[in-house]
Amino acid sequence: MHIPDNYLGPATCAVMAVAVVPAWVVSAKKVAKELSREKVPLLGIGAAFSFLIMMLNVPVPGGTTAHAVGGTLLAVLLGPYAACISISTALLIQALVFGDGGILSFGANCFNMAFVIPFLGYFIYKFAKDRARSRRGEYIGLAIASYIAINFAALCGAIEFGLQPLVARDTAGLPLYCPYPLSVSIPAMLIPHLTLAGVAEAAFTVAIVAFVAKASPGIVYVGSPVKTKPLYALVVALVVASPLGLLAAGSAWGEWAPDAIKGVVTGGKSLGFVPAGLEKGFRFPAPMQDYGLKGLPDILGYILSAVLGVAVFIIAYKLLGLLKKGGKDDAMKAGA
Amino acid sequence: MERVPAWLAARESYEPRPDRGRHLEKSLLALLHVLAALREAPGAGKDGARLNPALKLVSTFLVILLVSLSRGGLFLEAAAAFELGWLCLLRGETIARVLRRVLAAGLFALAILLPAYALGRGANLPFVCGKVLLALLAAAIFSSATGWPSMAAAFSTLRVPDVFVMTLDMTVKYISLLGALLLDMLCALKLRSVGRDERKMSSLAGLAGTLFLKSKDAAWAQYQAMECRCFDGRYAVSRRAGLGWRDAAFVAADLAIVAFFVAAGWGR
Repeated sequence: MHIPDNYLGPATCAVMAVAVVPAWVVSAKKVAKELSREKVPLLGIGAAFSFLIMMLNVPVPGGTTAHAVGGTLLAVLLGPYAACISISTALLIQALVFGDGGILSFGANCFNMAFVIPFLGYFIYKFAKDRARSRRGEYIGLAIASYIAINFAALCGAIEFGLQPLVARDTAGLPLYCPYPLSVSIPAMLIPHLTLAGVAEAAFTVAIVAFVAKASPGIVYVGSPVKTKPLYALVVALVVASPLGLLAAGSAWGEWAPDAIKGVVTGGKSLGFVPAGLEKGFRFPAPMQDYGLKGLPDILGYILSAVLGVAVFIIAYKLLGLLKKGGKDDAMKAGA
Repeated sequence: MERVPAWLAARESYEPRPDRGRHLEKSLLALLHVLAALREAPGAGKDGARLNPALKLVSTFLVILLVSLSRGGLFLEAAAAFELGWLCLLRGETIARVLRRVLAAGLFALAILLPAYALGRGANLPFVCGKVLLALLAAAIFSSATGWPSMAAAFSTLRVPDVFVMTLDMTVKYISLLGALLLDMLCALKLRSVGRDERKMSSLAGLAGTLFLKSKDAAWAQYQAMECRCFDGRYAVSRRAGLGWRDAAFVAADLAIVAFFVAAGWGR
């Protein structure tokens, strides 16, 4: 996932560098506040550990190997703020000494690997851990957290690549940096991460945390409990803001209705016909087609759809939680 | 005389099952490569040692930035001349090391960018590949001609906070120390691996977990050593004082490349 120089334009590199600076500043302040003096050397040694972890080849199904990043692993062991600083330091040394990752694209690499992976992975893990009833539940949460985090980072990298043909062209309209558009960069980055790298990262993270927790239980980072009220507030804000989607005119690429696809323009020419498969193919009459209800204004339809969707997910998650067996409480009762 | 027990006398034939996994060999090779790169080759530090390292760092960043901003082949030729001019001043072993690294990375970049031809977006490929190669060359020259202590001195000269320089310095030193430990553990695991390992992830996790625990111990020992030596937060890195005529000539070359960039229509 290390982006070399000249795959991203200087403007993108500058934007990503600016985007990651607040993460560095907040991390440095938090680390200074949380880490006592005797743990300051741990930053440098943590960076060395982070560097060496990236050297290890992890076996994946199919007999091949993949490199783990270990961002979520470090966040769980050292805390997300210390992990951000440590991984950034390791990336700087990789760029300067080993040429692994560019110098101009250092900001983008840090954004993807030192910010997105540790913070997203850590907060998903913490959210799951605070609700898990058993150690196994915690490890499942950890596996999911590290899997999601590395794939989200890969998605960020894919978007950074895919935007280059749009934002940087020469006078002849040819791309100056990465020539692959989003339609190529996203599947190219996500497919290997969703299949191999994500699985390797999840398995590697869980295995190491399990080993460390068993060998030295008190050593794993214990942060303050994740406050969920801000998360619920965010969800409410997003539900209220959902009608903003109505501002975007037209359909997203690949989501045209059969009557709309006739007019889609590609290479200066419109399609001019509706493919037979689309015209006569299977159609499912959804109860809230296009997130709306007949007779209801579009804005209210969007908000209602958002409320229904969020409620269904929360109910399903809570019901799944009830179905889990072998929880901590059951184990304690059995031992009593 | 005691008789040999039956189980000892039994004929044994054990055929270990083959194992496809090569993760240990690949990890060992990667680690050896890193440790070798960190260990300075004899005399390598002399290349460019008479130039101020902060100047070299700034110059490298400047060249990479200008190459990235350029939109035409004219400036790229000037940048190539500048970089090859710097390269030819280095010793033969250093030149070979730089070219090996750049060519390997360049071939990899070419392999990634070649499918663009199939997508009809390959018209600019030589230009993009040229920029990638020049950026790699500038970074490779800098890292091959500048030892790590000089890089740390460069950051210190550029007024980077002491705690950051100390963290960087500690990182490089402990990559060597912990890397040697990891190497020993990988070798030990490899020697003890016979037949098929059904628990590869567990073995690797044990290595990484042990490495983390050793890192924690090392951090505590490091802190105690720093306290014993009355560390007060200031981290002094030895720096060369002043600039010599070589530095002045280097600055002049940098100014010339910037002037060429502007004269070439800001890289067009």
